[in-house]
Amino acid sequence: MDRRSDRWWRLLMRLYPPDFRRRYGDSMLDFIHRQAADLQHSTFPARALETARTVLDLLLTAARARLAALGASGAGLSLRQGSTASSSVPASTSTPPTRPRSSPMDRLGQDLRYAIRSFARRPALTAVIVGTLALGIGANTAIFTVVNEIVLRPLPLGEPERVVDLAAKVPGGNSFTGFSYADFLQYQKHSGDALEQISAYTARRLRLGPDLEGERIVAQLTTPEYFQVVGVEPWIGRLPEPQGEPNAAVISHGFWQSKLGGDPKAVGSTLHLNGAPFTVVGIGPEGFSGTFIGYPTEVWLPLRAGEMLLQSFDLGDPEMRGLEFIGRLAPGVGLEQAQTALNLLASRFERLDPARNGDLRVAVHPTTGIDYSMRSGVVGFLGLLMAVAGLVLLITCLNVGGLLLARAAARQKEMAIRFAMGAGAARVVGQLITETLLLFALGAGLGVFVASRLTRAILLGLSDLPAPRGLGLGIDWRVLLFTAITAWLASLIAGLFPAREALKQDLVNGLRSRQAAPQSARLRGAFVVLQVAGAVALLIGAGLFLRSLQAGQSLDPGFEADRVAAGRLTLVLDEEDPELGLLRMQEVRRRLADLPGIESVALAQRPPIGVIKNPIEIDVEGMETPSGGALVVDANSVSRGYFETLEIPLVAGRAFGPEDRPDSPRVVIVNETMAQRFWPQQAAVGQELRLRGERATVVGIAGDSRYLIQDATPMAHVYLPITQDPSPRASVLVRSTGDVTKRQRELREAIQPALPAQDPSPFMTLRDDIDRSLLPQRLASAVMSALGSFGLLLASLGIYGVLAHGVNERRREIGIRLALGGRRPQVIRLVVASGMRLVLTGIVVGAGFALALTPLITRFLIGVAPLDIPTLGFVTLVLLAVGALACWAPALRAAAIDPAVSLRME
Amino acid sequence: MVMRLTPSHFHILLSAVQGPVHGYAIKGEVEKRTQGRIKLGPGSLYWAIGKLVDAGLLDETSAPSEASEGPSRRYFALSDAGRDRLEQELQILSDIVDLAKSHGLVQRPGEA
Repeated sequence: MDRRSDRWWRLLMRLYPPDFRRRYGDSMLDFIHRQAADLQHSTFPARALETARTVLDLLLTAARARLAALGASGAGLSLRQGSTASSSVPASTSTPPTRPRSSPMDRLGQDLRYAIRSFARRPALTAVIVGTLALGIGANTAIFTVVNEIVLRPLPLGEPERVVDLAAKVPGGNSFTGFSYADFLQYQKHSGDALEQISAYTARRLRLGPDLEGERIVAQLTTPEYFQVVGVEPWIGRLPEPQGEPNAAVISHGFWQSKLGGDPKAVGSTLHLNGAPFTVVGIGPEGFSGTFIGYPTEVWLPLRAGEMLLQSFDLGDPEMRGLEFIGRLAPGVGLEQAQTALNLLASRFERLDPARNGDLRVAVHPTTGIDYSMRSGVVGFLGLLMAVAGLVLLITCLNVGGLLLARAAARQKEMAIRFAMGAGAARVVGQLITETLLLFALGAGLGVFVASRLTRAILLGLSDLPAPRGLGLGIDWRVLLFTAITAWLASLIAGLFPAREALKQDLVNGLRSRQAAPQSARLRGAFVVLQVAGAVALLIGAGLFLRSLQAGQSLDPGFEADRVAAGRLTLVLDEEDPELGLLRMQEVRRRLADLPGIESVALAQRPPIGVIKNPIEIDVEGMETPSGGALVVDANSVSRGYFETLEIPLVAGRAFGPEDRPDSPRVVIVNETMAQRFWPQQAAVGQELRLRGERATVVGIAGDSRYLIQDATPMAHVYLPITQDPSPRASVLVRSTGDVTKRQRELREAIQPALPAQDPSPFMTLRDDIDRSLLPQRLASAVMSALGSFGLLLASLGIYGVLAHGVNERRREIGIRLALGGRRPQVIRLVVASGMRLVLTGIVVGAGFALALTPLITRFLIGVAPLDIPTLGFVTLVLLAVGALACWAPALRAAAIDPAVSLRME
Repeated sequence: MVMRLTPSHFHILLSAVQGPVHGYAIKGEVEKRTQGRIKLGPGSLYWAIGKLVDAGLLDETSAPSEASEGPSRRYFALSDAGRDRLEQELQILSDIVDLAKSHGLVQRPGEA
């Protein structure tokens, strides 16, 4: 037994009254240890069952002990503990004390005690119900924990609602990635109406340690206002002096803990980043790691430090773009107001100096921890997960509801006696509600435990994937509130019908008959149908995502994806001296191409395939969109050797060459789709189009390839020479004979002399890069497969339960049939048919559920339609097989009925 | 007030007849004796033991000399009152069984 599970046991012990815990807590723990040791060599299911039994025992006894403690302090409650209701109690010499009139609290106490006893009497059923609820509620809680962390929980900032991201926006532009320092100074000076403070920053990965071999960490280089903007004070130490302290670093609490081992002398120590020494002056507060969820900042450095760390990082250069802005709204200013003010400011700057300011605009978005461009995708994905979790909860509720209904049917006699003895309807229903609530409270309590295990598993699973890191996934009050409300609502759904059944009691029949009401059986049938439907919808979803994942992994991109590796780097380009940038790029290509085994090298603004479009507006003589709006095509800026490296064929014309210089006439290459769409009757080569107001000539036609992972429809695509459309961030593409990704250091060392202090991201083959982009599909298929299997298990148990119960009820009828010469295969067919009717109805309803989920799913599907016949067919087959299996045992039992015995029974 | 004995109480007392026993041993013995019909978890076992100790039917004692287990292990022995009570209960049970036999009601186990 490990220490971690010990913690959980101790947590369970806390449910006991303190004096009992002090008295026997250690002994109980010792008991649990011994039991675990005894079970060490048992099978997993046996161990799991025993653990579940122990947990249930601890929970129920804790409830009993708490009640006893309450009763001891309350007035007029008799102290009769223990399971006095057990049927085989040895004779007792005591007499029950007379009970005074009960108050509502007493009644609740009685109800609870009664409920506990009745559950303790049927531990297996109780364990199944509580276990089912724990898994269902736990899965919901786990997924909600993720949603809470990413979407709901505000970032740990001071007055977070006032913090805004300010994004640079150029209409129709494609290679604009940020602001220059000059922009910052301009906006800082004039935006006072809208913003109380504004800060510029850039995030870079730097290597930890005195040489360039250390681990890459995320550093944010910020102007001094940054911490005021986000409203965060250092936990220990101080902030760098606004002026003149370019070597001061503030580290995050997480970095201090994980990389510096929580060293108490960290403040004042020296930290080497990219080889340069920094003095740690402060540690950020716990939980604060910048404003991007999943991409935690580890170190904050003054923006000026960039000039020392990074070559050609010159804040004085107005063309050095790549800074981002974050601001704090002025008191009383809303988002729209701020946006209007900044728009006015932008047009004023444009009028003052059109050459420098161009049509640069600033878009204001609330700082939510997710980049604005990705927010709708992330929220959509989490919404899908929540819908899935809701479906699982529904299945769970229906399953438990079915079990409770069966229990209610079995207790008809008890209920009838209660009514006969004068119990009011309210009292009986109150008892039932108490029982249901107790079950769901137990389920929810265990569910939180299950959720904490699940979130740990999620984090573990994510650590192998290119997924966001640094997620805490803590269980906070929001999560607990969610669990409580979920459990409460679920208990209403599941408990409603049994309570209604109990009220419909016919006194005389209830006492006399052993038959359950037929409505109850029909209701349970409906419950099973809906469970099957839920499972079908989940499995269809899982199937669609699995097929998407497969399609994504095996897609034909139309270029060489397996032998080409890409790394990203920052090409600080200088428009004052375009020759220099050009030379650097040539140097990078030449040096890499000189390495053994490297066949071809190219640079591009972005990799040839991705998940986000890169639209650019163009004008073509004689072409108009139906709406009269601008023509928009997808674009990329690429260097010489691009098509050769990727083995994309040139259909006509030429590739980019040394003649395409920054100052020579603009040229573009279009893909086949674009050529056919824009110049269907004539040769595209030699045609002209306008790009951002400038004339450009088509010099070549490249073969179509795939540009978006999620979309295979051919799209118009235009290539610009990177020399004429420089981009500060670029991908280096390397085609090689061997596995170039094993030679990271060699590649880095080849690049560094050309671009000093450059540190490209690790090279990865384009195939792996595509694979990384399939994260949503991978996660969704995993989650939905797991939850779908759970749903399928519950549904099959439900089918089994209903049929077994039905066979039991109809023993007499089946006996008569057999006695009258009915054959056993016919009986089997009868039972299986009634079961399969439920399954088939469930499949049809489930397909409907899946269709209802379509709007949530479609955007994440790759190469498969939401109504995918093979998936549907496969899921149907699985359901039929599982359904038949669930029918089999009850059917056999029905066929084994001995008419003589069953007829004598009544 | 005389404490009511539940089946678990009864069997726990029965386990302590041979001498001091610790909690986990009681669980094992009860399970064996009742062929798994009564399964005691840690909560229900110590809750019941607590009741029996409070009622003076069980005494907490030091470990027997031959047992050299950890210091946290606690042993329980039947008190005199406990022994009396157990005998009383057994007498009642045996009377009932005799009565049932005289009416021809006792069957072989498993026949019912």
